[in-house]
Amino acid sequence: MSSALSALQARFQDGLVAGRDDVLADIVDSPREGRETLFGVYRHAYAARLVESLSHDYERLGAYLGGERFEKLGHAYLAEHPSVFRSIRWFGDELPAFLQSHAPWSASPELFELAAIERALNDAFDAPDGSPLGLATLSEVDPADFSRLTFTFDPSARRLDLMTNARLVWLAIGEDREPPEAAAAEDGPERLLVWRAGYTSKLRAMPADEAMLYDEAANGLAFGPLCEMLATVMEPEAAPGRAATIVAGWLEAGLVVAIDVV
Amino acid sequence: MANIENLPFLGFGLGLRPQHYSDILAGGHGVDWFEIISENYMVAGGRALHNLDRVRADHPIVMHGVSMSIASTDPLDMDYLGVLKALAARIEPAWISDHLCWTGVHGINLHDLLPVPFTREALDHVVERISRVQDFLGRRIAIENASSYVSFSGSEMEEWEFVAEMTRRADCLLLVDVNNVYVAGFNHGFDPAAYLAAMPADRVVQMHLAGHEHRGTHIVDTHDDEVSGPVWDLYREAVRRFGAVSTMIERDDRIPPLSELIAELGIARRIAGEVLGTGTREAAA
Repeated sequence: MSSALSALQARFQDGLVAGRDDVLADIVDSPREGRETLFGVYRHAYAARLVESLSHDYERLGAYLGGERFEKLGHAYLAEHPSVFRSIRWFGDELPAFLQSHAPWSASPELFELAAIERALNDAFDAPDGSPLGLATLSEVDPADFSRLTFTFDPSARRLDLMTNARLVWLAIGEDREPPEAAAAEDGPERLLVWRAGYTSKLRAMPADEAMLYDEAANGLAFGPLCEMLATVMEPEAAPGRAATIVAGWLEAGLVVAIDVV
Repeated sequence: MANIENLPFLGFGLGLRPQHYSDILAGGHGVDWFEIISENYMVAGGRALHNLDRVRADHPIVMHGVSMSIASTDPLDMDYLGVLKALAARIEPAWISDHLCWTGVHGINLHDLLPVPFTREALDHVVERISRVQDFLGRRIAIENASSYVSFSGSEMEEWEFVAEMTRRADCLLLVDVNNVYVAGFNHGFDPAAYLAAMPADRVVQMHLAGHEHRGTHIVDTHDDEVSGPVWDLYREAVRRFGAVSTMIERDDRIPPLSELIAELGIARRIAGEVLGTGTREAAA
């Protein structure tokens, strides 16, 4: 739409996102105040509101960085990622990726991993509602079908692999403790699962074998092939038992919303 | 005065805020109804929607949006309107409202209620868009007067003339934010009582009350403090003008315990009772 109104709105918006002053020519002084100060109310509110929303969504990252550094991050992010969302709730979605790809933050990988944890928890919080199956569901399955069972996970569930000790940093801040020095994750990547149980977002570290099974099950692999896969990394005879224990744990945690026979 | 659609007088309400869920769900608070920020519940699932369903089971709800961007020159966001309509189907609000403002252009949402130049072009544009939104939603919507800090040199009429004409031509309802009238009146140097007098009373379905921050030369609509004395005075005038209209207090920052807001809401009840007569059905609600 090309019109005086659209041109005015474009100038006004440029005044907020790009710091341009052209719009001041469209504005009149008030009886008591100059137009720069009055337009400045919008300028200030724009950045302040969006950076504040980041501080709510990434509360522990904010505590880890400290107010001033977080504020600087927020403004840099806003400059590159103006919101395109109906709700401010999603404005910060790209913050983990931004931290990973922009100096100086990219030099501290625990930052984007800490942000990734918080984003996953936020996403789980308002993900679609699932109807988790209980452990008893397994007793209704014909044992002859076990090897052909596939599992559908709760829509809130998501996996993260962390290369740093970001989970321990996240944990310490949540418990109001001094966070540990940033470091690489011990014993290789740390496998995390984030999901919502009832109405509460949860997070837990997964043993490597469970994470492997989870990822493949999420891809639709059936229980039989899952057991075979597990047998390649442990005593083959013990693999079916271990796989059954893991699946039972998923059901008990309310992670499974459908079991099908393929 | 009854409004044009015979929409109910809901009494005295509050904005529904997560900090108050447990107190509200415990019951016995005496708040007649709640207003939600629509966008906060336009999500797939989770606790917020669950709590909203529980509150809705016992209270009328009205939906109040901040992202319709009715005055924007970007195309109407039909995805947004679709989700809004779905939420309305779920919770059956008494009505749906948004602001006389724009929130961004070129696909960007600035998440602020930005001012409209009071031009004939903007009036035509807003009227046409309200009409299309009402057709899509299958109901009249209420439009709220926003606070503003700047006036445009290109404006061709006063804000109250714009709002009155918009309401008539778009055949919409009005949510009169008494604090916003006061704030805009101070910032732009007009008489807020004259503004109220120009509003078509039969279209007013709701009133907002809120706190602001006075910065000497201008006032900022902050929603982070108690309703100020002059705004209570203006509310008294509004009740004289509009009669028994569903009224609520908006608090979005520095949110106090529910009991404090309920006490403040009592001031609105008292003022409405004094103006309308305590024996009236409306004032007793």
